[in-house]
Amino acid sequence: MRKQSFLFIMAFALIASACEKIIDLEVKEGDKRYILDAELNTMDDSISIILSESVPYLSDDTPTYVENATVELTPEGNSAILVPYESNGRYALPLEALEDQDYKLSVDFNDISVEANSHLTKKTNINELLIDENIEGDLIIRTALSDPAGEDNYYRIRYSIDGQKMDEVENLVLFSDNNNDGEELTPRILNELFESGKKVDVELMTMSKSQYEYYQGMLSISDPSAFSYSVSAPANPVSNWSGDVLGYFSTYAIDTMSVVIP
Amino acid sequence: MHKGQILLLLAFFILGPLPLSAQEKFTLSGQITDAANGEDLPFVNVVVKELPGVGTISNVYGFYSLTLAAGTYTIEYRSIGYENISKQIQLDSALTMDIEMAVPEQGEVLKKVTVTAQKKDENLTRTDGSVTKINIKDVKKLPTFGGEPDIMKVAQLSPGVKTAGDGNSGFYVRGGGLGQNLVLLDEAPVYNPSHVLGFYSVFNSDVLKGAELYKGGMPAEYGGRTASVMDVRMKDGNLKEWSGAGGVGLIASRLALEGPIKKDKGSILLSGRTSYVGTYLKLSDNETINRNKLYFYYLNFKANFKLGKKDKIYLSGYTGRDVLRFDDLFGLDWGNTTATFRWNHVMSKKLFSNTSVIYNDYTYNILVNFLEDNLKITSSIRDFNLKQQFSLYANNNNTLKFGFDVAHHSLSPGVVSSENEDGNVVETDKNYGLESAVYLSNEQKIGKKIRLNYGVRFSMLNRLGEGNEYMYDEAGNLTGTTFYESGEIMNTNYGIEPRLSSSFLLSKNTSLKLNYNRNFQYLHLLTSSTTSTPIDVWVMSSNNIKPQIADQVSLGYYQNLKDNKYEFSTEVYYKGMQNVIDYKTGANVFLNDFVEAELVYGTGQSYGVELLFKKKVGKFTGWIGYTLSRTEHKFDAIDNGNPFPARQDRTHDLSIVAIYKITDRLSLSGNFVYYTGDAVTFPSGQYTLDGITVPYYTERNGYRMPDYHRLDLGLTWDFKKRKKFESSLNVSLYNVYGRQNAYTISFRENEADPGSYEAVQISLFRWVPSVTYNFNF
Repeated sequence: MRKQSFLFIMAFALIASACEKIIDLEVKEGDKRYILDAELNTMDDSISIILSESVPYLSDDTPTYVENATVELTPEGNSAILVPYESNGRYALPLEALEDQDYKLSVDFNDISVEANSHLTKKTNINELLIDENIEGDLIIRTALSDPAGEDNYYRIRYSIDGQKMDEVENLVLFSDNNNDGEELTPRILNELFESGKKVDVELMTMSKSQYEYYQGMLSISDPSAFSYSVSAPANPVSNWSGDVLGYFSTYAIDTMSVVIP
Repeated sequence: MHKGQILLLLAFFILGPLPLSAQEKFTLSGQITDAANGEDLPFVNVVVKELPGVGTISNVYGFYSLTLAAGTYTIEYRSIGYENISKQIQLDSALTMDIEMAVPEQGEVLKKVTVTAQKKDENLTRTDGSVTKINIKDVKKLPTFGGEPDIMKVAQLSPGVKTAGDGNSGFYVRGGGLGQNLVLLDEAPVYNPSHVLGFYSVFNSDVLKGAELYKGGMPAEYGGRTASVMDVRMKDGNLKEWSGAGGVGLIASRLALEGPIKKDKGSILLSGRTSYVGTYLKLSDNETINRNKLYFYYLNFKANFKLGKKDKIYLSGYTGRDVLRFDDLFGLDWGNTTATFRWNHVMSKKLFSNTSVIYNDYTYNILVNFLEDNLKITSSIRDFNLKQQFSLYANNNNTLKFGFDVAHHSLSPGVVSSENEDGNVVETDKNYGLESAVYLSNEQKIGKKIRLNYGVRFSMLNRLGEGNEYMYDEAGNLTGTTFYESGEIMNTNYGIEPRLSSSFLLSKNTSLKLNYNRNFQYLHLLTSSTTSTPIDVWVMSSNNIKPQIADQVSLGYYQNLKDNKYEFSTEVYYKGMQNVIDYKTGANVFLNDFVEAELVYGTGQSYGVELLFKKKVGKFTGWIGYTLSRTEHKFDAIDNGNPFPARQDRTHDLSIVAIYKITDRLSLSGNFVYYTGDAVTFPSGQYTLDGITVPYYTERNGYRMPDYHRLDLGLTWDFKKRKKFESSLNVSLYNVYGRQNAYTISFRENEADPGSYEAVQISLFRWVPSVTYNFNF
């Protein structure tokens, strides 16, 4: 509905000779919130946590990082492992990430204790990368995969072009096997930087349902032009952190494949 | 108390004290029509000159019934804009007297003010306090976009009724949502009364008889929505001679023709309107604009036929379509179709029956040619409805109405078809339901000063197969599915809806009105929380969705001043709402079979005070309406259960309407509106996650859109009447001072300063001029 509403409003506004202007909107400065952006995946075989503070909306302030936290990772059935501080709010540790396993992450800082649990799912492999064109003649890359039948699977595609990560919100690709259980899927990625000779590294990431919903929620509010046409009023996505912090402890099983555009 | 005694007491209360003398009584009844065109005349006051306070009012079909002791009486018939009629009768047996009322000739109007004036203090004695009665003649005097009068726009200038904003004909009533208004055209529900751009509603004033908007105290015969009822009635068609009306404007043109099939027996009415605003787009040099399409059209039809003294049948219909095409990328078309077959039958001098069979449909198609997708999404809601109502004129103090409604709803939330080679068709679950109700109400006069209208409605919705009933746990996870065969009852919701409206005449010029109503709503509109589009999703109550319930109490004070030249009224109201619907974060309600799991339920309240000051006669007429109100919602799942302002919470709402008759032929009209901006949710901070900048929110609807205000002016020149041909030219300017009212506010990255964001406001329609030539013959 968001896409349809967006198109309707754009079409309507254009046809109605609408005027657009930049307005000086006085945003309320909410209390600063702590952000815990944690990721464990099977590709890097490492745990990474960035602990920072939020900044006012519409500002270009750089965030303040928290350096004095105690971070512990507990793989299911094992004892806690301390994750040391590196720099710029980042805590990291090389670690073999295992598929189909639960992980618990605990963080203590400034008299705040929070924890999050996440299930690292099984990996789904990329069968092949197909280079194609859409009807507009733009280059697209299709990631062919065989969805495992009989279970709900949730996916994300992350990619880089010539080593440069495409991590902008418009390049975040999320999909599930809802209505396509057990089928051959070929989700596509489109980027105007796709050109002959460029190397594209594609990561097919599988994740839990709750993590997928978190990213969907994040996607719906992160497109800054989308405020006006979400069906629900925008709100913070539901985090897996126990306390009053923002962010998510994400775990991914990742398969990768690369292709050079001919 | 013994059961028999209770029944006796009830009968006494309803039917009033029995006369002590055994004097025989007889009933005078009949049909009141317009002498010029044979149209039924509703709401005509029928009074007995010799018995002050005794009388009745004709019903919406022009039927009246009055029971009096045998004797000689002078009966007076009075209706606004018509010459009073006085008849001497000798009542010594049941008497049928049909009345034709005439509009006085132009020159006579001024001379016969006292004769033509109807009961000017009717606003004091009517029980329906929270009602806006819309007179078509008033509508035509106001400045509106394109020079065409619109009944919906006039309704929105009343206190307590608030426009949904530019580009939308929808409205909010006393804190209710857009989908909580029951809009009826000849008894058929109209699910989306808005045409493209929102300037025009689906109602063409040339073919309307009138409309009433109930903000509260709805009589028991109405149900199915919690906020309001807008009951619009079409003209029947001229029974005497062929006549017509129309208008040619810069944006749209319209034509209506009506005339007898058989003089004084049956008539037919046809009307249509089409817009050609899209034609102007082609004039643009800009390809982004000139490749778009935008137009709408509609047709109205009505026929009626008298089958004798006691029976009359009507057939009426409407169909309309709006089409919007944005290049080859996107298309949207939507429209309503309604058809009503109605049979009026006078069963006896005291008992009037109205039977209606109604069909209505609202469908929209979305065409998306986006990248390589070539999709068509079709969604519809369709009803078949049977209504039976009896009006029993028990005695001069009591008129009972009772009857039933049965409506079969069928909702098709979405069929997605692809024009690509694979041609997949995906269809979401269709939903079926049977909504039924029985009701009984009594309009009672107690002495000369008290009038009551009380009743009760029992309503019920049975969800029907074929279809799946889904069970969810508290987190919204599916825990079970039960399949039901076609016609099987899946689940049932029901409720009892008491209604009361009353008026107490305090003096000759003042009255108090007290209303209470409880309304159940079983069909729910899931609209966007931020902007309005025609992409509506309706859902029905079920095992998961409880019916929405509203309880409203209002108290009004009405006063007429200076011999009824001025009218002042104020009402305070409080409305409590249960099972209010909102969405879970990131909810997907479109093309989703499990939409019920995406909803959350809460409570709400709305309260406010409404003021209206009206000048009704003279060269300068108009009104000022003001509402001070508050509307809050409360959900356990939102903002930690704290109440927050609903989107339609408008603290201040002001409407000023003025019409100045410069000469007999030239009049200037204007309206000014001001209201507090909608409550809206904006972020309070931001952070970076996985390389993506994410806003964060601290409270729901903690911000306001900028305040809305606008002035429109119109000038109407009436040309000299030639025989039967009358015409006028209307020049109007919408948004005179070009205020850029916000349609949407969104955010985007600042191109000059990457990494920082700016707020962008989109506004529609600045300085929209229009010229329209209107005529009737």
